[in-house]
Amino acid sequence: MISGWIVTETGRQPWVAYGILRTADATSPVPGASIAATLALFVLVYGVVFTMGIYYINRLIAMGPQGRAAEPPEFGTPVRPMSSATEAGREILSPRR
Amino acid sequence: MEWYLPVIWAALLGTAVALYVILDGFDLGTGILFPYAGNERERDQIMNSIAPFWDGNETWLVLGGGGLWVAFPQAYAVIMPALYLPVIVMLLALVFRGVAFEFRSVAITSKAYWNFAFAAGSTLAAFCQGLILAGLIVGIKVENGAFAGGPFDWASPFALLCGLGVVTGYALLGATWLVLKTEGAVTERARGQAKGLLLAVLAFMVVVSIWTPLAFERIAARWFSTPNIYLLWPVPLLTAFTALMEWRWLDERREALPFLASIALFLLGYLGLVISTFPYLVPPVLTIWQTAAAPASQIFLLVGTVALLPIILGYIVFVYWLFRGKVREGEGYH
Repeated sequence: MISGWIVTETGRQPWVAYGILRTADATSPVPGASIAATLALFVLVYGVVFTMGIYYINRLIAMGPQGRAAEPPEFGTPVRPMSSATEAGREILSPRR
Repeated sequence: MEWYLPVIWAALLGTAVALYVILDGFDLGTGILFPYAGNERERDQIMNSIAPFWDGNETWLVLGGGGLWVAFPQAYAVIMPALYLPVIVMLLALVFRGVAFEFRSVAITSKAYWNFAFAAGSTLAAFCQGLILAGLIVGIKVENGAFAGGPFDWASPFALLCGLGVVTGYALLGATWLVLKTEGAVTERARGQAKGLLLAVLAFMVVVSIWTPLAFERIAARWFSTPNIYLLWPVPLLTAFTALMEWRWLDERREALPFLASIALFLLGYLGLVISTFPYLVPPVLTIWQTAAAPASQIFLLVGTVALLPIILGYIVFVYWLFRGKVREGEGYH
């Protein structure tokens, strides 16, 4: 998917809107130094977030499933995926006991 | 050109920004107060009080930014480059405080880092929003319809004042939210914090109200010329009255009223801002009519917005109703 995106974006150059607006004319009046600094910040922040995310996901997978699987519903046959949602919704919407 | 279309869009955007400031204000505020919690269980309780709401609250920022882009493209093209650095830093701060919800709940040894990420991200995001507010009040250098200033034009003592003011104001919203939504030690601490924060917010409001007419002639003219002054004097009076009532309600240990009073204080401050700047989107040069998109574009987008907005408002009310009541220690849906 990302390769396709890269092909689309590079293939359209030098236009940002094909035949209407050139990329060179579409840039914001923001100095290159600001762009470089914020790009570095984005890489840094996403690097930290993704690294930690992958670490936590791996640990959760290594731990395996915890506790028991969900209880079978008391009524309604669980033949379709939405039946458990229906029951949960019924429970929430019914008046307080 | 239809003169009323930009007015409708300005009202829509104004509503989106007001909703953002109030809703994300209180959840950013709980983040600002996060470091003062007594222990890990109290921190859990604070986070659980906002867990079902915070991401929905933040999406009003998307309507604010997206709406500015589609309805007032020229204002967007001037404001975003002028305030580029505070806007990007705000977004990155929101990344940290947003991901902290998920990572904190699965972290074992690294929990303290995500506590810090949540508190620092919330505080920095609020501070950047104050910088953006100040940048819009001070005004932006525009030549030939485009931003013509430097990357640090927004930096000023007034911006520092507004940054600290917004952090304090959000903390007040957060403290009164905790009074409403929690029980036990967290509530008691929040009630005490709310009183100090209320005084600080009033001080910021007074300083900004004196500073802006002195520094900006257009704001002085707007407030103090006749007949405006006769129509506008209730705004500061109502603000003082609301603050007085909030103090009393905190003393009387009311639960919902202090939070509603904090919201009212924010709305009054916001009204003051609108009075000071309308009809400028980029003060003091570009009005809502000068920066508006073509009427056909505004109508096209208005149809979609008018159809979707009631649905969104409806499910927001539903979520707040569903998660009504207090969050006790050890409770939470996460």
